[in-house]
Parts: sequence; structure tokens; C-alpha cells
Amino acid sequence: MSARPAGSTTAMIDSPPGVCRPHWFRAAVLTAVAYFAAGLLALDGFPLDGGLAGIWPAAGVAVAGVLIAGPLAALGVFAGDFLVELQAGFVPSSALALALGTVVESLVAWLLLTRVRPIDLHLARIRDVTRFIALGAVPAAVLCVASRLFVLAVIGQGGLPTADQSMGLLVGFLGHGLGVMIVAPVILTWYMRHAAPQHVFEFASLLLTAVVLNAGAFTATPIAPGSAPLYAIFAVVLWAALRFGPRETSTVMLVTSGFATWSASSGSGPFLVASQSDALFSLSQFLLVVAATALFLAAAVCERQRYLRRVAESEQAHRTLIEQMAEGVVTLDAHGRLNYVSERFCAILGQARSRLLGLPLTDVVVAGERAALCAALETCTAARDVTREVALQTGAGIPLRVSVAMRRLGDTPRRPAGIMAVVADITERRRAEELAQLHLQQLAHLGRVKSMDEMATAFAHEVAQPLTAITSYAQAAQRFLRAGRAADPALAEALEGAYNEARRASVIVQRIRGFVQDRAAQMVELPVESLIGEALHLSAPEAHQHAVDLHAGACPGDCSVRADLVQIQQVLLNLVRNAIEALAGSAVAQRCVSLNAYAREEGLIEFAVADNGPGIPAENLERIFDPFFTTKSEGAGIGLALCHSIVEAHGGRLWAESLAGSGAVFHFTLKAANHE
Amino acid sequence: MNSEPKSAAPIVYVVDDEPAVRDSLRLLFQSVGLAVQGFPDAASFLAQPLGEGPACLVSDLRMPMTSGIDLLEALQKRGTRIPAVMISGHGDVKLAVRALKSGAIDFIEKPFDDQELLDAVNGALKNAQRSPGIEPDSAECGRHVDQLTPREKEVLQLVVSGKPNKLIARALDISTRTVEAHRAHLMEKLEVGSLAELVRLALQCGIAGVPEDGQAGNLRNQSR
Repeated sequence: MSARPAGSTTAMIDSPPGVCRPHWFRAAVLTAVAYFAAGLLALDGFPLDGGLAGIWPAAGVAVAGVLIAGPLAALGVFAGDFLVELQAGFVPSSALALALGTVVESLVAWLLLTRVRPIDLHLARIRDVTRFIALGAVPAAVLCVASRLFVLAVIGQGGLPTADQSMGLLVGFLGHGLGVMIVAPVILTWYMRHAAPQHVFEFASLLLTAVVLNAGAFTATPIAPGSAPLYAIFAVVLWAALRFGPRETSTVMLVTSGFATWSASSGSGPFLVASQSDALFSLSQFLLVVAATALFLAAAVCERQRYLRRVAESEQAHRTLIEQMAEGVVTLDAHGRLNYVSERFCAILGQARSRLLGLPLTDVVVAGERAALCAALETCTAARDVTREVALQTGAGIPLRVSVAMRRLGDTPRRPAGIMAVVADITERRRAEELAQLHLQQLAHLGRVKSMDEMATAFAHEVAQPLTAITSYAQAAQRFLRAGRAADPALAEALEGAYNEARRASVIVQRIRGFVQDRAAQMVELPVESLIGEALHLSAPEAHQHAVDLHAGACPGDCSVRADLVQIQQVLLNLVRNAIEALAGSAVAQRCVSLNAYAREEGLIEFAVADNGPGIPAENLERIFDPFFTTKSEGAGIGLALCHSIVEAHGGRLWAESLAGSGAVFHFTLKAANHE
Repeated sequence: MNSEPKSAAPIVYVVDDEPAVRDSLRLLFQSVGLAVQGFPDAASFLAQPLGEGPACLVSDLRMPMTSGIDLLEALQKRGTRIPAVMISGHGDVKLAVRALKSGAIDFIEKPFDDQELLDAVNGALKNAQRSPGIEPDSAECGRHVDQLTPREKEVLQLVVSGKPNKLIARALDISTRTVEAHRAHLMEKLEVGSLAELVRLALQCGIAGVPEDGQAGNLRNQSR
């Protein structure tokens, strides 16, 4: 099938490299010579009674000449035809008129095939062949008849010497059409492709076979139409069309028509059954059918080859693209079995491609996640696009976390053609995320230590209270004992008070230690109410010191979030402390900070920390979460940036609202624990 | 809030926002047979009509809303004469000085020694009629202050103005250790056992500097 050299596709569509348009004068002269020669050959070689030729090859020369060299080649057509007509015995005036008619023929063909419906001269597309026949051969034949009728009417000598005028016109019509259809393609295709055929020996044997078959078909006197050798010619045409191209096929056609015409005119061959003009008519019909078949078949084969080549190129390009991807790509058939795996996928998995093809995708997933993947594949078949994270069982035996983006192939869920999956190794991404989380933890720890440093005085005061009380209780107890009032209930009261205060002090110390400890994030379910309570406890000393009232409200009902206790505590505490600090320098009479949480519809819990301080100027509102942005003389500007990072790492959002003069509200969201 | 005050018996009014401190002070005063009435804040104390008998106020200096100083000033404004012993957190020298200037007769640093507090309260009850405040006593002052070296006088001035040792060291261009040594020496020479006494003495002698800011300063960097 691939008789053509690769890469000739473009050469057939555009003007081929190395083929340049000849100079008009040379083209005209060449056309004149060729036309004259073809005309003489037809007149002398296949003469019918009165000089009418069964096939008029000169018409093909004329059309090919103008198509190759342009309209000026028609000058050559004119000269050639004038001479041929004189040779045929017409008076000069008739010859002139007929030559002008031929020029019109060729110019019409040129106009239609280059301007109205341009064709590619390789004749390698069905469309081009159709146009060539409909707009080249047919008009040429029609115009030939028209010009001859015109000459007959006006001058009286129309070159229709036969008695049967209408039969003569029909033969002339067919002869011109055939001349264009058989001769022009040979000239055009050989002109467009000079190079010798790919398989020279095969081409030689093709030609030889054509000659032998034709000789057998047309020279054996006289055989009936429908005999085997005649139809064997179709086999040669098929051979040429399938193994070669339009050029070789049209060449075979030329040989065939040469033999057929010659045999018909020399009185032998299958068509010589009745009168010569009847024979000519049958011959023309036969040649017409074979020529059209040959041209269309050759073009169809070419088109198919070009299409296949294009598909192959496109597939190659896509395959290259897929193989170059950082992700592995697989396709699954309707039963979930791998029918394509990219090189990258094999590399990710550490398995040979041959071992993977035909396996169900679920087989390369670790045992525990097969059911989940099956479910995902089913969802994909129903819903088109699904992405899941699963662990693959690699050749090395180590499970590898990947994300699998699946897409259904085929149009409808009812007739799934399979699934394409893009498999991305997310180990690196995971590692980067873990590293970022670690950095955040370290930063958060530093932030907490810094917070504690700033809060130390308030906490010293907080711890001093129970210590003062303990001291007094103990001293009171001592005095009761010294005074011999051991039975006094006040003594028990004092001791109990001392005990309670000692416990309170130790709780405070524990709370501080828990808050400052450096530890890995642990996502657990945390009741919102206790989160808020603890935040209030931790910020109470500072609020107390700055005479700020703390108010709290928790979600109605028992709602919980999924978060790391210490980090979220840090966010709450930071926001409350910021609010207290904003109030500390303000002239507000009733300093108030409120901490609220409520459940939102989307499975989120929203926390809000509001103060009635001076608020945040609009120009700062956008920048307050930027690292190192601070308006405090002693602040490092990491508190809010840290809160932002922590909340985002929890999959939430932190934002601030403020109206100058009426305080600020900081909101953040966390996922509710009971929400998936 | 507890023992019913008898009209003639001496009574101690305790104002502290911290319930445990209030409760422990009540027991401490009860242990020596004093009647006690506790208040969680200045406002509720001011709202209470005071009895006829000898009385003493023991109040925390740092409280939300109305501070101990505000309470003293409110009492002064009303003309209510009641001896007040203020309890201050560690390091609140500036506040202590202001308290004494506002009419407190004494201040005691937390955590305090029971005897110190009881002595102060008993003294206050005995001299309940004595006018609060401190009158400069030049003779007494001269006797004490003359013993100090010029550098010690400088240190004294800075200490009672509420400056922490670190800042004093910087101001005088000496080391913190040297400041500590000077402090110890001058307290020995002036025969005072506590910062409160030192401040009181300094006030009597007219040495105590007025705190630069009128607010309740937070001397977080104070170190002894």
C-alpha cells in the first residue's frame, strides 16, 4: 500500500518543490509542437473515415498546457491546432475558426480549473478528479461540438465528413472528452512528479503486463466484447491504482487507450462488430468507464493513504505528548482492563509494559483501596470526570500515593468505551506540603513563645493571685491552730481554699506549658465551646489588666471542628489579644471583646472575634495579613500572618472587617467535624 | 460580705476583684478576731454606707474598671476619711507611690507576709482618726538622708520614681549589680525593710519623684 514515498502529501497539495512554471514562450512553443504531434498521431494513427479520430489526444495536450503554463500557452494551442486542421484538409478560414474554437476550449478549462474551482494538478484527491472531469473534460467536449457546428453553419465545412452527422458529433464529443481525460492526467502528473516511480521493476512489469494484456485484448481478431482479456484490463488498472498512484495509473490508461484506439481504427479488436463509427462509439464508452474508474480509484487510494498517514502522524504526536507528560497515562477498556499504558506510568509503577497490559487497573492498587477505586471507576462511567487519590502497589513493593484523574471515553454512560486515567505521583507534592506544615508548626511555636513573652506580665499577675490567696489561707490556718481553734470550721475553710487555689495555679501553669510546647499538629475533633472557653481563660489576665470585658457565645447545640487544638487556640488567642491591644490604647468607655462561633450551612463553623475599638483603617485592612506588616511599635508583624497560614492549612479562611471608629471583626472558618 | 459588722467593733473592708484573695483575707482577719466585709469592686464599696466604728480599707491596686487609685481619689473627693492599706502586685512602684500620694497610709506587696499586713491594718485601725497622707518631716529626713552617699541618693530618687534596676543602671551608667548593691546599702542605712517603707520614707522627705505618666504603669521589666 505504501508505494509512495513518505512526505509526498504536501508536495501533492502545494506547488511541488523543484517544479517551476515554465516561461510562457517556451511553454507555448512546446505546447504547439506537442499539440501538432498529438494531432498528427491521431489523424495518421487512428484515422476513421474522413479523418475523424476516435480519441483526440491533442485536446488533453491543450488543457494540460494551459493548466501548467498558464493562458499564454493557448497561443501554442492555436498554432498547433491551426496546422493540424490544415493538415486534416480544412480551408484556412475553417482551420482558423476551428483553432480559435480550440483556444476557447482550453481557456475555458483553464479559467474553470484555476479560478472558479481550482484543482491540485496531482489529481490525488477525489474532489480534484471530479472537478477535472466536470470542469475540464466535459466543457472541452461540449465546446468542441459547438465550435464545429458553428464552423459548419457559418463556413459550410465543419470537419464532419461522415454521412451520419449526429453520430459524428457524438464521436467528436466523446473523442475530445477522452483526450482530456486520458492524456492530460499523464502530462500533469508526470510534470508534477518527475522522480522515477518507487518500485521501478514493479512499474516495468506493470507496464509490460498492460502491453501484453492490451495486445491480447485488442489485436486478436475479432473477439466478442466481454471476453476475459478485455476485462483483465481492469485488473491492471487496479494494480496501478492500489500499488502506485494517479501518475502510474494514468500512464497505464494511456497505454490501454492507445492500443484500443489503434486496434479499432485498424480493424481488429472486440469493438469491431458493426460499422466503424459504432465500433468507435463502443470503444469510447469502454475507455470512458475505465478512465473514470482509474482516475477516481487512484485518487481514492491516495486520499486514504494520506488520511492514514495523517492519523498516524497525529497519533504519533499525541503519543509523544502523552509519553512526555510528567504524569502517567493509561486507558482502560470497558471491563476496566489496561489497554494502553504510557512509559511514564510504567516508570512510576516500576513494572514492564508487557506485564501491565490486560491487567485490571484495580490489580495495581494496594489491596485496601481496590474497593474505593472500583467505586470511583463506576462513578466515572456514570459522571464522566472523577479524581481520586490511591496508593499503587509498585514493583519495588512500596506503596506509592498517586492522584488518578479519570475521564470516561465515549459519549454516553450507557455505552462506555472505556476510561482514560492520568496518574500523578504526588509523593513530592505531599512531601512539600508536609515540609510547609512543619515550617508552619515551627513558626507557630515561635509565635506562641513570643506571645507568651508578651503576655508574661499578665500571666505573672494571674499566677500571683492564687499564690497570694494560698499564702493568706495558710497563714490564717496557722493562726487558727496557734490560737487553739482547731475545731473552728474556718480552719477547714482556709485549708480547702488553699488547696483549691494551689490547683488553680497548677492549671494555669499547665495551660501555659501546653500552649508553648513545640509539637506536631494533631487533627482531632474539638468542641467549639471548650475552644472558646480555653481561649477566654488564656486571655483573661490581659483582658483584666486592660480593663476589657470578654464575652463569649458558642454555637447553639454541640458543634465541633476538626483541627489542631494548640494551633487553633493560638489563632483565637492571637485575635483576642489583638482586640485587647487595640482597645488598650483607646478612649472607649466600655471596652468589650466578644468571641462568637456559629455553624454555617456549608458544613463550616465560623468564628468571629469582635472589638469596639478604633477599628482598622481601610488602607491597612488589605495588608494586615501580610508577614511583617505591623502598626505596633513592638510588634514583629507575624501574629496575623501566622493565623492566616494556620487557618489556611486547616482548609479555612481568615478575613477582617472594620468600620473606622466602630471596631473590627476578625472572622475565620473551620470545617465542622461531623461534615464530610 | 461575711461577718456582720458591729457598730462599735473595728471592721476591715476588703476590696479585691479576685474572690480567692478576698476569701483568704477574710479568713486571715477572722483568725485575729477582726470583722471583715468584702467587696468585688470599688463601686460596690462606695455604694455601701460605712459604719461609725473604727474601720480600715484594704484594697487591691490593680482592678478592672475602677483601680485602687481611683477608689482613693473618689474617697478623697467625697471627704470620706478612712485609712487605706493598698495591696500591690510585685513591681508596681509607680502605682504604690501614687497610692501613697493619694492618701493611702501604707502599701503591701503581693505575696505578702501576714504579720506585715496585720500590723499595717492594726496600726490603721488604732490611728483611724489620724489624717491620712504623709506630711514631710524635715528633721527625721535629714537624720536619715544625710547618711547616704550622693550616688545612693541618686539611686534612691530613681527607685522611688518607679524605675527598674536595669533603667537605673543605664541612667547612671553603672552595672545592674552595682545598682542592686546601692539599693541594699541605702535600705540598710535608712532602716527600712521593704520597698513600701522606702517609698513612704522618701515621700516624707519629699524625695519621691512623681511618676511621669498618670496611667497605671506596667513595669514588666522590673527586676530586683
